[in-house]
Amino acid sequence: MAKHVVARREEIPPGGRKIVRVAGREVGVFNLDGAFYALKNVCPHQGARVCLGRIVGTALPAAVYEYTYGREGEILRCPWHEWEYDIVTGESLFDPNIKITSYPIEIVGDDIVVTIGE
Amino acid sequence: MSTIAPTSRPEDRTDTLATLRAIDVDLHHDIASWQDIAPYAPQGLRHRLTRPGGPPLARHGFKIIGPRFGEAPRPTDANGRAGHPAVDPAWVKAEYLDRRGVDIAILTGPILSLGVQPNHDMAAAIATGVNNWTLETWIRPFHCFKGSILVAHQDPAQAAAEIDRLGDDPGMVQVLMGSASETPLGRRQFHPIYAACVRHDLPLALHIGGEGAGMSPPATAVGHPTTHFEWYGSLPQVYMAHIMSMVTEGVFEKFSTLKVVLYEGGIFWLPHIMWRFDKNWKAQRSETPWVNERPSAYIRRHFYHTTYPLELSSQEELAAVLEMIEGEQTLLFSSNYPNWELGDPFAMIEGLPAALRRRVLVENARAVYGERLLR
Repeated sequence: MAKHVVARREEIPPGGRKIVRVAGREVGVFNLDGAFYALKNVCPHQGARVCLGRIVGTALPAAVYEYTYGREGEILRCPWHEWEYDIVTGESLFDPNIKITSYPIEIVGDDIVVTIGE
Repeated sequence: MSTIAPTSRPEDRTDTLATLRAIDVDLHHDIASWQDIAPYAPQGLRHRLTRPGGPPLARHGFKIIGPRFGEAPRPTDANGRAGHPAVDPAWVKAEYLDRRGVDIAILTGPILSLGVQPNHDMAAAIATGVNNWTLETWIRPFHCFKGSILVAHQDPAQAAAEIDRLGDDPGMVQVLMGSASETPLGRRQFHPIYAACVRHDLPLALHIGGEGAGMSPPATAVGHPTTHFEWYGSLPQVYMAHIMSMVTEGVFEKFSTLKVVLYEGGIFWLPHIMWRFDKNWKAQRSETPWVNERPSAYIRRHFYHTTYPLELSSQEELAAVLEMIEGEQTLLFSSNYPNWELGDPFAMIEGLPAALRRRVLVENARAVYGERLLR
């Protein structure tokens, strides 16, 4: 288990992201309204650099023929095949067992610190 | 309009699941003369049925090449001339059901293009006339026959009303629509029909036959086929389109108990669409947020398939496909009587392992139709 300072807080404003290289892998660091999340930059489908995908919302679960768009800014769509992932959990929206590896993240002073490793 | 009061079954009915030998879900009984149907149709439109040559129906444009009834038995008159094998219920019972060990046959009739007739009211009148006539002349006298409520789905309100009129009749076991349709069957305009099916706990049967006729689009997605050979071979793509439509439009989210029986479509194409559908859903599910499960899960749960014509293959190949579609629970024996141009329907299931054969002949139909079959 190792803690890595990956960025200063002001580098990633709300809605923003930063791709960092840490402990031999790429990690996407996301700021959702002041809360930070760290996802491995590997799509569990075919290995694409998923954290480069569009940050969007999605159609929420709905009754037949009803449409509610929501969760704006919380969904990451892989640039290769457009699979949708919940940035907060890393889980795909169609099957929670298919998920991007996520890492614990904390703010220490003005530093964003990600924990990686066993 | 004539209405027919349900009558009780003969007292000696003793069938149980254990004693049943075979249930045939597809017997095409036929009309000897439209004069016979007219008295059972709404009064105002009877004259359209009794005009010379029968009502102006757009059937499909292809005549089958070769002997029309294949190996099906034929009655002969005093002069030795062959007659129609499916117009006399007593003869059909004696020469087909009794000889082949079929205990119950579901009647599917001769008109599979009703849903693409331009005249909605005439189509609905024909449906009513045929339904009443079938009940009175086939089902009431012979408890081995069960009926399908034929509906003309281009007018969903009248179709739903016909289902409500006959839905609780003990002689009827399903609703029947031609799969030939102006537009895909998942669209919301058809949902009142599915609501009526669910209201009466009736499976919905779809049967190919009218593709390319009347108001139907061409029978293939690229235009009209040239020959009957080409037409018939192409028809499973119609079922592919309807399945895709019904799943994506949320029919099974709205009507979670609806069962759909696909007639005469085969099964070997199903693994392909199930895989492709699931694959695309992972990325595109947000277009139809009410599709909460993999599309293949809806297909496995809601669709049933029939054996005529079952793709003849090695037992290993058949077992592999059945496993992919969970076909052991969803495959029903259908004879397509008397249209046996493609061979004897019993020969098609001869190669099935005994336990599966029993499922296909009896148990799966019991699961789909329930106690209605024995009422």
